[in-house]
Amino acid sequence: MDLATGKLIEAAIMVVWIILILGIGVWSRSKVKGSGEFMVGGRTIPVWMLGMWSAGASVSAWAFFGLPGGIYASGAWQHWAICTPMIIGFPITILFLGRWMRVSAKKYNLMTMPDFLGEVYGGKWIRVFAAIGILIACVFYSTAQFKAIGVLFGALFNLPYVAAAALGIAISAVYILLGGFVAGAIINTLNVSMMIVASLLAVGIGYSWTGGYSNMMSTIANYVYPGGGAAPMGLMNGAAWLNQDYALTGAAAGGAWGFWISWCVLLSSFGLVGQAAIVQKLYGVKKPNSLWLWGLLGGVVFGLTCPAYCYLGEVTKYLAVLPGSTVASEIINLGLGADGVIAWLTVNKLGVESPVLGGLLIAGVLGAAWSTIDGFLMMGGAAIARDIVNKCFRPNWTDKQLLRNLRISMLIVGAVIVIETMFPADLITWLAAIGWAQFAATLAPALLLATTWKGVTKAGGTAGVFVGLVVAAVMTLVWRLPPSSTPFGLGTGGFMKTFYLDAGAWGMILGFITIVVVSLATKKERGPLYYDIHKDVPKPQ
Amino acid sequence: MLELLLANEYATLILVDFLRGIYSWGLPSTWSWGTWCVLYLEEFIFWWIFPLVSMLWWRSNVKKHPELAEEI
Repeated sequence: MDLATGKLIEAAIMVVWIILILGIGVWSRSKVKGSGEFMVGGRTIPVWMLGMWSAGASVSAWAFFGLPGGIYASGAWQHWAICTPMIIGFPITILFLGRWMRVSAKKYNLMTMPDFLGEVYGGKWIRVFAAIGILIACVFYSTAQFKAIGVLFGALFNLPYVAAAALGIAISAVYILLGGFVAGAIINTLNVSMMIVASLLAVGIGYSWTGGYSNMMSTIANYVYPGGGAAPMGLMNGAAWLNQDYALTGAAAGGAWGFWISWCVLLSSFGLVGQAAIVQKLYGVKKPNSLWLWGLLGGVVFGLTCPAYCYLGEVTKYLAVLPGSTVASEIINLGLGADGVIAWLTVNKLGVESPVLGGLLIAGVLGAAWSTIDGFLMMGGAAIARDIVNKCFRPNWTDKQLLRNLRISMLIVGAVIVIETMFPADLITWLAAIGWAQFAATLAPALLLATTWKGVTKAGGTAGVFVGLVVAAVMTLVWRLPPSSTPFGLGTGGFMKTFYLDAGAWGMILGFITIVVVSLATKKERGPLYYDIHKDVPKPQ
Repeated sequence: MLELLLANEYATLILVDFLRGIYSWGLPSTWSWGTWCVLYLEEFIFWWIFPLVSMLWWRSNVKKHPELAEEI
């Protein structure tokens, strides 16, 4: 089959998928009567649907798009360093936080993560700092999703990148603005089902192309770039591709352990507790005693889908290093850097060989992106309209006013993300990593300590959220710049070599320390939910 | 030892290879039965055992103490 016909079939599959999604969005509009239905579905959504939605929100385009590209270009280490520990983040969330979030939701009308922090620690500033952290993280993380959509839609429909990315946001904005949480739950159950199908297909296709795992890895391991000098993207020597230190910090340096501590121990596992787009969905669970299924389903769905797409990065590397292969130059010619790997695989390769499978894989990637974007639009809008303006400065809004302003704020967040998508940006996988780390640094320490340590205070929690927010944001912005424009040449790789930990991990550690130290030194003032959680602490009269 | 991690999510594919009569994992390190056992155990702890055991424990605990899952 020629490429044009293959692309037509893949595009037709995507058009049907988009019409289905938009139809559900329009239908769900009738279910939204107020802000409660819009934000948390009236707390009547079955836990299995929210487990699937949360898993989809966690996998997102970075795993289905960014990681395969990163693995193809720079080494196999990324799948275990980031993927593996994330699966235990779901049960950790239920063990430490989920029950209290859900059983206190009705009494305190909780809809967002800053809501929970505000009711436990008390005061408005913890809400404001948490909301600012959420907004910063939203922009980076969502931009990664739109980049993925822009690249895929652009390749599939022959659209310019910005127009394709704008089309992607328009689709998710329409269904989530109309149908809110209910539309998100239904659509993302479908999206995640598609992701699971696509992942299983990906493994089957990859295995048949490579002739088995052993053959794939030994072919890559024995590959030596014949050209001499620096190898083009995708043609790194096999030994270097398998060398974790080389991939992370350069040929001679050691530092893989820093990445291990940053991501495996802190950001991927315990850091998942702070991912508002994933955890906030617990407020919508119908029965609190069913939360265990969220933890189990989230972990299992994540474990099925994320490694499968990472495997496609390894498969593409194998295809690129076969004798006489032109794969590496074909991917480079797309002009998308490492982000071109999945676009090449699904559109250029499968479009010719098996367009139906290619269409399903593309639907899986886009489903992953949309399942995250809609959560970010809701969360970013809520951070502005509810957490900052309504809760801190305009408490007298009616529910109708709140609902209207939530929708307007979501449109503003969407517009900001579209504008940022137009600027040249980093790789998808790093954009998402920055967003994920910012969420973890800002929210995870305060959330984890809120339910596990009775020594927390209002000042401690507020200071901890502020420190986590500022440390992660400043380090990200300053130290990820190129070495030539940063003090002491500490940009990007230099930072990792010198300080070993990721910016978000520093934010998380310093956030924990700040909460403990400030809480020990300040007045024992707390919010009302604190005394429900720690019943043995007497409530001040 | 870190090479174990490179393959940990794909232990099932290595098992499929094994069932096809290919006794290797393709990495430069020497492959052995012990390696495969450690690899598979490590994968199961990370990917399946912890979520399964911890969430089933949570479920049984809430069944024993239903007040834990009541709205406050």
